[in-house]
Amino acid sequence: MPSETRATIPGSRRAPLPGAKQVADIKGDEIVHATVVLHRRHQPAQPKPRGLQHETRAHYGAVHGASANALAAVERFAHQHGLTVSERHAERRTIMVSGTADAMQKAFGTKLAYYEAKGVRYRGRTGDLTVPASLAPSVMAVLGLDNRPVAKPHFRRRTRTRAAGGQNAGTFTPPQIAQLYNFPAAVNGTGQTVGIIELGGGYSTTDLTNYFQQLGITEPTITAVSVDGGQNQPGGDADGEVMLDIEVVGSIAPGANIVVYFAPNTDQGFHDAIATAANDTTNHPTIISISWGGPEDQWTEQSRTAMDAALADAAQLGITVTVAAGDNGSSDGETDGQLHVDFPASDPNVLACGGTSLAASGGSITSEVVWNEMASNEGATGGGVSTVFALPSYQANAGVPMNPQNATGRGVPDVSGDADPNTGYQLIVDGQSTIIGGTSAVAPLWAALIALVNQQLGKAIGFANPLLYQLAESTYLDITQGGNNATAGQPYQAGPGWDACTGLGSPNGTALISALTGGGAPATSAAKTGG
Amino acid sequence: MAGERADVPGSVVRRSEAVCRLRPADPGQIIQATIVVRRPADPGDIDAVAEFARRYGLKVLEASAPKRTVRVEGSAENMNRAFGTDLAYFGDDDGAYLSYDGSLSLDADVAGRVIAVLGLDQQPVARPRARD
Repeated sequence: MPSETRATIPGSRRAPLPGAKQVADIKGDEIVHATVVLHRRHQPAQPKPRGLQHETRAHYGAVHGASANALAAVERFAHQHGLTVSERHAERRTIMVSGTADAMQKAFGTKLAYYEAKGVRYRGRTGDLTVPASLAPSVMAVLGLDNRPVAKPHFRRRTRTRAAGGQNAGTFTPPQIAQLYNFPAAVNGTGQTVGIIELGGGYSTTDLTNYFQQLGITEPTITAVSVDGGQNQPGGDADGEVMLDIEVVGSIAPGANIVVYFAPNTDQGFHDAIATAANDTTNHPTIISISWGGPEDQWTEQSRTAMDAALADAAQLGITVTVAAGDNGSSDGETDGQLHVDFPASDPNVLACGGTSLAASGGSITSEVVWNEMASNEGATGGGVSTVFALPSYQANAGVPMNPQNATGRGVPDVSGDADPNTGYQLIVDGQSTIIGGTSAVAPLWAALIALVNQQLGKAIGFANPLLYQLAESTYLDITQGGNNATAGQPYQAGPGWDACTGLGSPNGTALISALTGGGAPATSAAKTGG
Repeated sequence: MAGERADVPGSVVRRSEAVCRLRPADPGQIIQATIVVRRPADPGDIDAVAEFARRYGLKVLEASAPKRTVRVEGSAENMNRAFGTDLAYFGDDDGAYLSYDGSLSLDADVAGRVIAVLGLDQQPVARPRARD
């Protein structure tokens, strides 16, 4: 073969995973499979025409698939380099090739090796890929040479600089938040067990000991349960989530036992963790806190069905399940310009927990509004109306608006609590003092409150939504200011009573317990919120 | 066995257009799955599903009536036969995960008992809702 000019495939540059070390060379005769992805023959008009979805697949493929010439050229190139073509799809614009590692390295101008990061071993490469310059305009990507696992959800931790008042200005310890929400001081969750679902990360017992010591609280009993091979593995990106959940529950209801169910972040892992916790005859949790979720319509229907059935079982077994409503406003982080709710928060068998921004002075709330920092790209509470789950009877009179398909549906959230990182929770994570928020904080906040309720009641309140929607408005701190719209023109605004940003409102703990124990809602000592 | 099959409703996986089928699963690769039966379950559901799994050479790790689940383990080859699919790695330049195209299916005699077969699509489903 005459030497030919080669060109870089744009965007193909790879760095090792953080902390990865090269652990072995690749064997030259190891068989490697890769997929060559070609560019579209024609770019679809931008933005996509509304009628596109009605096009037949065949027509779409003919217009937008790869050209026959490009497919043939890539195939010739593969054969010249001793690679076997196993599949070719014009409409998917892909050609699957396989061959020895030596041949792949020559064909794509790269060097493969084995790397290991955090106990995960993968075949990887660094730098750019190249192909002959004549092919470069046709090739969009070459995938599979590097088989690192899918990146875990990104978790950011940053240090905020504040103009005045120091690093912690405007933020709270969880017990301070409990006090602002008028949680009763006479109970601490003794005799209760709170289950927490985690799909990644882990906790450090040293950090927890330090944290509870710093707050002057007796450390609760914490147990890890492995589901489908999931483990308590601190050092991962999701440690912030795990520590947030444990530190909030443990500092507000330190008398309760905490059981953390670790499972893989797949539909199987998530479902099995819920089913395991709900049927755990060793630990018997009566409350389950979930701060993980994804946009409702991104799930397969079967996984939603299975999760819904497991959550219905939990409800029937007398377990309260609290779930974070999402951190990306009315779009739930999707980019199609439509309204979306987060699942499993949108399941009617759970208590969906939305987020507020909380200000206080002298131990009293001075203002509480919907958490919405979308303007500075710092998140907003999830909330809206399900397109999957029907309007539950307990929400029949709540004034839930129509869903984006102009039909009735389950309204999200049910209740709220402080979630804005700017008014967030002082924690210790990975040895560092840090401040974290998100609706992730509100699920354990309500889980801790339910533990106090259960202790006071002398029994588990279980699935409480039908009851909670019947209580007097004074049982809640009604949030009436703000909205969670991700973009201009979207509809959700807070107002008196239930709304799709903060549900019924934030808790007035003592009033709630009094109402649930039959004493009616007393005059509240907590500040009424306003603008 | 007459070989009658039925789809698992709602088992089609959504994927972004940027994600491609990269390579078939290794036929000998060991995979675990959770078969979830209907709610409320019939007394015979769990046994029937376990029997179905064994019929295809899958090992039953756990059969739980309260959880309504049968957890099974077996080679990709046997999983493919049991669930009428063609397991493969899908992904983009950020990595790859096991999954499949189209619907999963089951022998017709158990199809009505099963609401989901989980674990054959291993893409992450959830994000932590913590923020700083």
